[in-house]
Amino acid sequence: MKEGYQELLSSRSGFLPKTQAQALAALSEGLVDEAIFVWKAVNIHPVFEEPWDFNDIEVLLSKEDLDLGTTVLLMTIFERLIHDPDKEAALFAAESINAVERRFAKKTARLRAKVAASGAAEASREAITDLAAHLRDFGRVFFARPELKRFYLREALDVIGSLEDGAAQAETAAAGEKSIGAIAPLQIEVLLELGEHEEAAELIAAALALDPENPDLLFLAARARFLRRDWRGVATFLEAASAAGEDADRGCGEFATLRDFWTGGACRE
Amino acid sequence: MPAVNERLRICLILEGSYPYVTGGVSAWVQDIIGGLPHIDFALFTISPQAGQSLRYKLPANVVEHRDIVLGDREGGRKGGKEAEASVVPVLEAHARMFAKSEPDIEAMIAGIPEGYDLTDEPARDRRYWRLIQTMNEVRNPAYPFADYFWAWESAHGMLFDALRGSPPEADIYHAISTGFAGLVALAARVRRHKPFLLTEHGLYHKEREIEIRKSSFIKGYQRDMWIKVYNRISRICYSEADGITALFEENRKKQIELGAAPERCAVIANGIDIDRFSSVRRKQRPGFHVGLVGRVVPIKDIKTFIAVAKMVLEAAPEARFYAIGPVDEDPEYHEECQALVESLRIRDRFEFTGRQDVLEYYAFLDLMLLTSIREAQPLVIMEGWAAGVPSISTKVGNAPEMLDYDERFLAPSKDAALIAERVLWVRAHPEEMAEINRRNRSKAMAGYDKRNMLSAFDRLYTGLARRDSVGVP
Repeated sequence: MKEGYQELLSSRSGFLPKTQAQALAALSEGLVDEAIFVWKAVNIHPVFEEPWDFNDIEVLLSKEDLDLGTTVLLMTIFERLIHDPDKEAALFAAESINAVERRFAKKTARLRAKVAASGAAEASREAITDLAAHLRDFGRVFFARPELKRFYLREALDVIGSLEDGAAQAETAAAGEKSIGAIAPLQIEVLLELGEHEEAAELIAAALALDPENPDLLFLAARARFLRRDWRGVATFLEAASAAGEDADRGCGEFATLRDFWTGGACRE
Repeated sequence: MPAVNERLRICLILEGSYPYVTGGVSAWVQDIIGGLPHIDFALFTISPQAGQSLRYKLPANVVEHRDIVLGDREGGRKGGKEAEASVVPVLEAHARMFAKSEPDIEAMIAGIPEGYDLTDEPARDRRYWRLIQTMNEVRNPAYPFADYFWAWESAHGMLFDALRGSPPEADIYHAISTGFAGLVALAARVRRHKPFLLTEHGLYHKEREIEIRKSSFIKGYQRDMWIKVYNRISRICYSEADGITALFEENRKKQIELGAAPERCAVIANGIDIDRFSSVRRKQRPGFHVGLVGRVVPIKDIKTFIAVAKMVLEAAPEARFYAIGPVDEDPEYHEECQALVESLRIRDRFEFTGRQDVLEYYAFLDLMLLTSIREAQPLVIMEGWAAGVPSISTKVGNAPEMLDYDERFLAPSKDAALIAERVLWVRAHPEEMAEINRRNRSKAMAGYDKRNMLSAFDRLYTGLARRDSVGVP
C-alpha cells in the first residue's frame, strides 16, 4: 500500500470519495488505492463534535427515515448553531430546523389521513396509536422549544383521547387480551413528557392493576419515580421490570442493564 | 443607445417571481416599472409551469411580455449545421474547465444560436457523448453511467432552455437574479451586443443551494452537481455583467468575492413610499400591540412569533399580537399555526388578519416583529420606521445593519425566549423608545426613500444605454 499525504490527494481516477461507504465502493471497483480507503475510513470526526462538519450533517439530514435519536442529535447541533455569529451557519441551522419540522408535519398529515381512512375498530386503533406515537416524537424533537413541545404532546393526547377514552380502551383490551395494549403506555409517556406527573401516576397504577407484570409498564413506573426524584422507587420498579422481563432479556437485556446501571451489577461489565 | 425621441426599452428577466408570485422582489419590480413611466419595459419571465395567473396589474409602460417554461422542449431547432457550429466551443469550454482554467463563456454562447436546442445533442453527436462519459469517469466514477447521464441531463437541460431563450428586443437586459435569468441576459449580451445589468436581492446561488440541500429528491453526487452548476452560473454572471447592483454592502462584497469587478458593482438600497408611510396618523390604543407583517409561510417562522406571544403574555397579559399578511400561500402551515395558537390558549390575544391595508395597523402598533429565518432587506422595517413603529428582528440579511447592530432589537433566528425578552424591554422603556422612533424615522427618510432608488436606476439605465460598447457607465 502506498503511503504519504500526496497519495491521498491524487487517486488514479481523479475521484475522491466523500463518505466511508463511497470509499469502500470505490476501492472495490478499483477506482481508488487502499491508502485513500484507509484514510477516509479512519478519519472519522463525530458529527456532534465541533468544529461541525456540515457535509456530514447534511448527509444525515438528507435521510428521510432518520430515527428519533439521530434527529434529536441533529436538532441539538442546530440549536447551538443558530447562535453562531457566522450568519450562514445560523441560516443553515434555521433552515434545517424548518426542514425537520416540515418532514414531521408531512408525516403527521399522512398519518391523519390514514386515521380518517381506517374503518374497522382494530385498524383505527392501530392508526391512532401510530399517529399519537409520531406526535410524541414530534414533541421530543422540539425539546428546546417548550411551547412547540407542549403543543405536539397535547396533540398526541388529543389523538389518544379520540379513542373515546384511551384508558377505557386499554382496560377493554386488557380484559380481552390479558394485555394493556400499546395506547396506555404511550399515554403515560406523553403525560410524563408533559410533566403531568399526578395524572401519569394514576394511569400507571390503573394499568398495573390490570397487568402487574408488564415490564414496559414497570419501567414507566420507574421513570415516573425518577422524574419525582424518588430514587428508592426507581430501584424497586427497575428490579421488578428486570424480573418481569427476564425471560425475554435472558438476564442482561434492556431492563437488567438499566437496573445494573443503578446498582453497579453484572450486566455493566 | 435609442435614437433621439425614442423611449429607452429595458427587458426585465425574471425567474419565479413577478408578475406571478407576490413577495419582496415582485413588489420591487412593480415599483421600478411604475416609478419610471418614461421608460418602456419588456418582461421575459422564466416559469416552472405554463398558464400561471398574474398577481399584479401590469403598468401601462410594460410593452411586451414573453414567458418560457423550463423543461418545455417544444419549438427549439435541433440538429443541422447549427449543431456542428455549437459543438467545438462547448467542448473547448469544458476542456478548459477540466484543466481548471476559466472557460471562454462568450465564445461558447456565441456558438449556440438563439432558439437552438442543445438538449438532445449528446444522443446525436459522439463528441458530446464522450464528453459526458469523461465527466462521469473523472467526477463520479463510482456511479453507473446511466445514472450519471440522467442526472447530467436534468441539471443541464434547463441551462440549455435558458440559453436558447429569445427575449424581446431591448436596449438593456436587466436580470433580477443570476441563475437562468442571468444566463438569458448574458446570452442576449453576447448575441445582440446590448448591456447586461444584474440586480440581486438575495444571493441566488445560496438560496438554490439551501433548497437543494433540503430537497428529498436530489441526493448524493446529484446534489453536488446541481450546487456546482448554480455556483458556476453565478460566477459567470458576476464576471460577465456590465453592471451589478446589490441591496446592501455585505452582499456586494460577496458578489466581488465570487468574481464581480468592484468597479462594476453598486449598492442601491430598497426604498419605500416615504410620503405614504409617514402620513400615518398614530392613534395609540390601550395595551401593547405587536405586529408581524408578512406572509404566513415557514420562512417567516410564524410559529416562533406565536411562541414569543405566549411568553410575552405571561408577563404582559394586556398585549395583543397580529400576524398581518396573506394566509393562502401555505394553507397547511397556516392551519398548524392556528392550532398552535389554540393549543397555547392565546386565541383571544392573537389574530391572523389576512391581507390588510398595513397603514391601518401602523397607526396603532407599538412594535413590529420580524422572526424570519431568511430575508434580504426587509421593507417592513423601513415602513414601520416611517410610520413611527420600531422593529425587533432576527439577525438575517441586512436587518442587523439596518438596526445598527443594536442588540436590544436583534436576536438569533428561532430564539423565542430572547425575542420575548427584547419585546418586554421595549414595552418597559417608552421614553427611550420615543427618541429611538424619532431617529428611525429620520433614518428611513434619508436612506430608504423610493425616489432615491428610482433615480439611481434611472441614471444606471441611461448610463448603460449611452455607452458605445458594454461596460460600466
